[in-house]
Amino acid sequence: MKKYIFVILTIILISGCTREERGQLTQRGHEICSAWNTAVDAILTDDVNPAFVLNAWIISDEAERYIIEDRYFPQYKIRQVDATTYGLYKGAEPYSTINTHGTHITDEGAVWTVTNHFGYSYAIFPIVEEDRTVSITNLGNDQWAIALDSAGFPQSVTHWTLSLERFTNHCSIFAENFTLSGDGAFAFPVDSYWEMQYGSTDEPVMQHYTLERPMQNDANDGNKLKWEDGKLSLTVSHSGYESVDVVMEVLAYFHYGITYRGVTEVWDRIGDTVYYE
Amino acid sequence: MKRLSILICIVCVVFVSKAQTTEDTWKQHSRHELTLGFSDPLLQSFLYGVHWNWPSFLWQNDISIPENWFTKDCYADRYGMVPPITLSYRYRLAKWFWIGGSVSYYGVYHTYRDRFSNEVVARTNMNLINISPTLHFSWLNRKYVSLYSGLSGGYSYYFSKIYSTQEEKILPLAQSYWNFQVTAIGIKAGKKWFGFAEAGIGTQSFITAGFGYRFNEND
Repeated sequence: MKKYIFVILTIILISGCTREERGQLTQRGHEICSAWNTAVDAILTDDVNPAFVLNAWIISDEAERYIIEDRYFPQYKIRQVDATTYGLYKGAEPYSTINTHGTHITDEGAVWTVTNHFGYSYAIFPIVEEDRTVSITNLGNDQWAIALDSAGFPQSVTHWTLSLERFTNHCSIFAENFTLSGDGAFAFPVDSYWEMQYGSTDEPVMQHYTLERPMQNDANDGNKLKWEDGKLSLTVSHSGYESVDVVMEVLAYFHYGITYRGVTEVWDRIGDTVYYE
Repeated sequence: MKRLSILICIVCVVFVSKAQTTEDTWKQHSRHELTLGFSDPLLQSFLYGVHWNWPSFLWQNDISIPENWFTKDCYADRYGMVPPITLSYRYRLAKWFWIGGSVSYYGVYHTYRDRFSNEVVARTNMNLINISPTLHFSWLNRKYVSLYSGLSGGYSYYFSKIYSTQEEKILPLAQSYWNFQVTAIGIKAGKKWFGFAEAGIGTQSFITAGFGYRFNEND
């Protein structure tokens, strides 16, 4: 009996102690960059790329339109709202509205506006108006200016230039090599839990960023963002706290060097980047 | 199925009543019992959570929330736990009926370190003490084995402290509430020294096992 008692006591004492891993030192820097990447990915994937695909759809014949719809809008219906405006519908609900202003997106000087009606549905996304609007302006030479229209919330801005290497497919930008350069700021809403704990505040957490080396997308099947080069420098700030600087350098596909508090570590994943080959 | 259930009930009733009505000299048996039991911490962990007591000034365990990008970057280096340990005493009033009381303790301890310097920045401990009167119904009694059920209900006292080595804060917290424990089935096996295991539900645990000692005033 004494032997069994000893065994029981030993098992209980051993099982009662655990230890967490210290983890990677740059995990906060990684999280900050992930938030940035999630926002950028959402704007490019849900707003900018549908505009380019819609442009291809408009200039295609009926047979090609079916192919485009099946490939890029399998869950949406395209409806022409008026002479210059098209809507992507999910059931009877408009997912986004794209105003072509009567131009092709490939026309120099053309300005397209994309209004995403579910732009605020992300759990963590920079503050914009309920309907997120992005303006796409053709600068010529296969370059477009991307501007987040944040009239209601001027903290969130983008000053991006999207440069396609060769716009050969005239459809999805992800199927092309392109670079994204510029700077901007994202204002992240404070969490409701924070409000509960420390009192309501409308002041957002700010993320000011500069693309020191243009982010480069590697041409892929056309549906996903695939960074393979680029360097991002950003500073996050919030009232009452010391601001934090983070640098993210894309070393290769699935290799992101994150520098945070003077320490650099390599991560194999960032934000909503999807694993695929 | 219904017939089978009725048959099982009848067999159990006959079996138990036979066990209870067997004339023996139960009063010569040991009438006092002391037990020490160890319980699973599942319910307590669910109620209080493994990291229930992240100090508020280190509030950073969910860094997907942007505000937490600015708080102290710490990690829970060590997590120690004492699963519910219960010391019980029971007195046998009748062959099948025991009354008594129990005291149990459950504790969780954390050490938090700065992720960069690896220095300890805080220690926390949570303690829970239950004090309960108990009733046991020993519905099968054999020479070396008995089966029983039980009920207990009492008071719990919960207190915790947070020590911050950097900010020199001590944040005590204390509260108390009622507790209960229902033992659906338990088994004891042995003579003077015996082992036991029981299953039930309540603020203490689902499963408890341990050992005990029987004695009489004359021993």
